[in-house]
Amino acid sequence: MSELFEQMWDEVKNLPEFDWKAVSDRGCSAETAARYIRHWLKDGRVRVSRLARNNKRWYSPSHLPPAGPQPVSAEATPEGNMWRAMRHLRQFNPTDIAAHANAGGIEVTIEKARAYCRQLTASGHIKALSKAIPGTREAHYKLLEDSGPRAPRPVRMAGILDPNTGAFAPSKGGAA
Amino acid sequence: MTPSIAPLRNVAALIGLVERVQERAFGLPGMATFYGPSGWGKTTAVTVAANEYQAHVVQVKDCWTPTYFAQAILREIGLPPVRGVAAMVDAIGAQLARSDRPLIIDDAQYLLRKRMIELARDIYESCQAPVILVGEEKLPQDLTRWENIHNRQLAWEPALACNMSDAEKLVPIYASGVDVADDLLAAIVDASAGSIRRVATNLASARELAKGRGRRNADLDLWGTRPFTTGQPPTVRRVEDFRPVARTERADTVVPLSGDAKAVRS
Repeated sequence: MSELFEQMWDEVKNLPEFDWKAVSDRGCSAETAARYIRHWLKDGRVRVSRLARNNKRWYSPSHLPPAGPQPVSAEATPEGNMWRAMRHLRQFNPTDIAAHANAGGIEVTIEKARAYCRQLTASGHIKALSKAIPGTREAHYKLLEDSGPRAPRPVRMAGILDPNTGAFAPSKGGAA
Repeated sequence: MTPSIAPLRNVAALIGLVERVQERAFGLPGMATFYGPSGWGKTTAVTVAANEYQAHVVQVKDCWTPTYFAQAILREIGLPPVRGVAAMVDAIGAQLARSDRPLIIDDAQYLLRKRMIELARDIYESCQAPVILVGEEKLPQDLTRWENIHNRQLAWEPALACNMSDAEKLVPIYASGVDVADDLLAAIVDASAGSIRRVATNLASARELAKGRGRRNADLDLWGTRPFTTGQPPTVRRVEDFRPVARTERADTVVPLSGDAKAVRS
């Protein structure tokens, strides 16, 4: 193969993920980039890491760990148990959630379930069907958006908020 | 307060089943079936068992195709999408074999259509991780049509109806702060026809009633003639009950008396 072939490989071999455009942008035509990728696939240097919605292929070097979403963690968390209970029950109150989430060595109090329900109501994942009557009745909720197996969880973001424009720029590193 | 429904008989039965399959001896099959009538708390048990073992759960729908079934499991495991059912089964199998986390398939009776049950067997064969089928009462009988799947069942566990002992465990959760008398609890269990969710709903109603009256106990006298949540449809109304009664003559018709009649009456 040509010098360009090895030069292109040196440039992409440490990228976590790339497509033909990323190769082409490094100094070759689109056709050459596609041909090089075919050779790398045949040699086992790269693998198809994922297919985009439009069936576009993304590649990652075989010597790097797989890019993209990783399998759902097996670590039990209060949010994980509560989210799983919400996804299965669909309609629930905080007592239901706490009763179903107290398993696998995780402790979830009714107060914690209430707080999580309030947070997910604010984020639009669930909505209240009936309000609570303090001391008499719990609020009832319905799941609106089952976004997937990973539990939504509250985070505190550090950054700069400009009250003039409402723009928020997270600082480097993200969470506070 | 940290309420837990893990001690309920159904929940304990499913957790025990998952544990048996997970800790089976070498060479024994790794599939199992948990079955029972609709409304007996199978999904409740699945939720708690999934939280206990961090299991992957998919709830099959009637309209699913084999491709969608494989995609749903892939999504639930959190793997990126791949093209082709065969590639998806391989990816699922590899991940389940690595993690050894159980796969629980709820409403598995829908797998019997469109050959999706064969796909469940393929996944089990690829990973040898526990695969638990949860479905309706007839599921074990229906599975006999697939000898290769029937043979791979380690155990068949029936779901149990909610009884007084289960209901007593639900009282501190759904009627906390209220003493529910035995007569009311027995009436609730009878009316709920074995459903844990209906018992919980009726207990919450009893609590709401007692709290509303400022009482710390609830019994059948307090409940009165209020209807329980039974899950039964309303009774059929008869059209005849709504028709006006046909009358031959009007009772309030005033007949003016003639002069003679007036004379007689006076």
